[in-house]
Amino acid sequence: MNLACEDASFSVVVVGVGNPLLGDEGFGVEAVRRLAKETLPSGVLVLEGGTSSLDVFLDLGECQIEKLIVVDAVRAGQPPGSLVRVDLTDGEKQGTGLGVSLHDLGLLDSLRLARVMGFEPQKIVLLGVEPEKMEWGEGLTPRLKETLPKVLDEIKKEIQSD
Amino acid sequence: MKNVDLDINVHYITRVEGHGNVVVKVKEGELKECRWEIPEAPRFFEAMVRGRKWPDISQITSRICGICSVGHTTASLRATEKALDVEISEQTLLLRKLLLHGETLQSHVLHVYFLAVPDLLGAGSVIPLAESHTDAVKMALRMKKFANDMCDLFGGRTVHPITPCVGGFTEVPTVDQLVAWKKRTVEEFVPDAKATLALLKTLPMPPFDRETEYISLHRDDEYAFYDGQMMSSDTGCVPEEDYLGMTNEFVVPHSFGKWTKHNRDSLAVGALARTNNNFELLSPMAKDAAAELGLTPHTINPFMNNVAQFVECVHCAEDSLKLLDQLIETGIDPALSVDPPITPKAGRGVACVEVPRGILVHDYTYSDDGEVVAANCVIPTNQNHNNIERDFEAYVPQLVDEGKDSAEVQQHLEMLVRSYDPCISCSVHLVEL
Repeated sequence: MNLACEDASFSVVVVGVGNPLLGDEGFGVEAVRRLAKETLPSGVLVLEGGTSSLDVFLDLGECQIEKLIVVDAVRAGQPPGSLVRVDLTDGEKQGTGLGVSLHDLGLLDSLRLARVMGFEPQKIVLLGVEPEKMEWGEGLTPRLKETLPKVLDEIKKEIQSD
Repeated sequence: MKNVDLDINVHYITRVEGHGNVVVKVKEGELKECRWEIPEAPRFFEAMVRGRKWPDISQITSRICGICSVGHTTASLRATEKALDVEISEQTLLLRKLLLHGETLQSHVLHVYFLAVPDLLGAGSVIPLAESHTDAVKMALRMKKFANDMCDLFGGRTVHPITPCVGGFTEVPTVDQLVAWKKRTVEEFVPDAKATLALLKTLPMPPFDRETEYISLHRDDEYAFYDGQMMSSDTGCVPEEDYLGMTNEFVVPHSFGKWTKHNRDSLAVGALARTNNNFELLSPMAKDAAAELGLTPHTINPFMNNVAQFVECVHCAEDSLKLLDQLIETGIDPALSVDPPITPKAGRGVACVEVPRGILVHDYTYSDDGEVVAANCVIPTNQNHNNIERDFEAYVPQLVDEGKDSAEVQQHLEMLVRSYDPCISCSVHLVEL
């Protein structure tokens, strides 16, 4: 991926992470694929991070970003399809009690490493959905598919808010 | 061995790609069990490509791995081109070599900095090093991004390249891009490599010598990555078509990864095998780095595979400059590289390529209409599983006699496995029961 980020700035970057070959684990990727088809305000960038969030953050490293929204499957001990919102802006804030992203070590550690390279969005928000099943295979479970419109609405609200 | 009892069971060793278990039981100073187990599920790629047409094969087989996808792509394309009698231009050859160097850098930097060095700095992973060794982590991330961008430039994407195709490339860089890449290599990667050398000099590898048979590609005119003859440190060279006689894959009960052996009980492939077999062909800067780090043409400490990987990084960077100069001088002609017309025919092609972890073999047989009817892939990590277990058998008594306790023995065995940089998911195959 070549984002050519020197001197680039974005009001919001939305990154969907996950593995689309592992059922609901691919929720984040499916969400941003749908989001990318919608009309969004200028200054908003939507990216598929797949399973390489560190590489995405390194590519974004030189960009000025007001808000980074990461969309992912999140195991928070909630019923499948439940939405969680976690503010990850403060790097020292680990473990909010809301459970952890399924890419937890990957996502949080990716952010910690990317910060070393100057990746400092002013605000970082994780929007997660509790998965139902994570097994080999393509496609979300029906329950997670049903949550997509609601999640897209939440992402759009997050894009508009401070 | 001293009279001790040990019961080591590492279920899923960390900081390697894929899943492997370490099982070591010592009773009253006698080694009772010693196993390197591979429980990873088979991947079925050799069956998947059967019935598929020649343009699709490299795209499918590149998915065997996300770290060595360029290597699989390269071996796959070379095997198909040999089977279909397709010649490539000098320009394509140089661009493919540059792409392969990009992957070698990408993989070796990841392994040395993120998987191996944390052990040497007393950390459980690279994450705490972000605070304690910030400059080193910055350098590692910068070098990783450099290598990612190199694969993007020469392969169209940082993993699973999209521009290489049978006979050439669907898109090639411009001369301006090559000039810019040369500048970036000199101004960014070379200084970082020098700083990495200074860091590695402060981190000696654990002492452990066990000679084995070293197998790698060899050419007389260059340090072989892209092609060459298969060379054994014991028995010399054979053409790549004769790979089966060197690899001799066989199945063991505790591993989904096959084992190999040739002239001795086990063999090793990878960076250390390459430097042992081809030391004189390393670039000048690489040889200097080797001298500073104690790597010689006959190094038999498996931990020194980490050092050999770094030395190869220096070599790949310096060799890239040479390849870039050649291409800049001759210019880039898109017509030479873009998707030439191919007439399918029946045939068999065997290609051996040195990927970061060792020799990779892709062997395809095609039907008249260009469909694969048979395929065999021999993966480098496969070839090391047996050697890792033989190393365990020799290393455990040494560690015990050095007075290491159970936790220290376990840690050193894990470090030993990591030094081979195993890519376990690539290495598993269907086992017939």
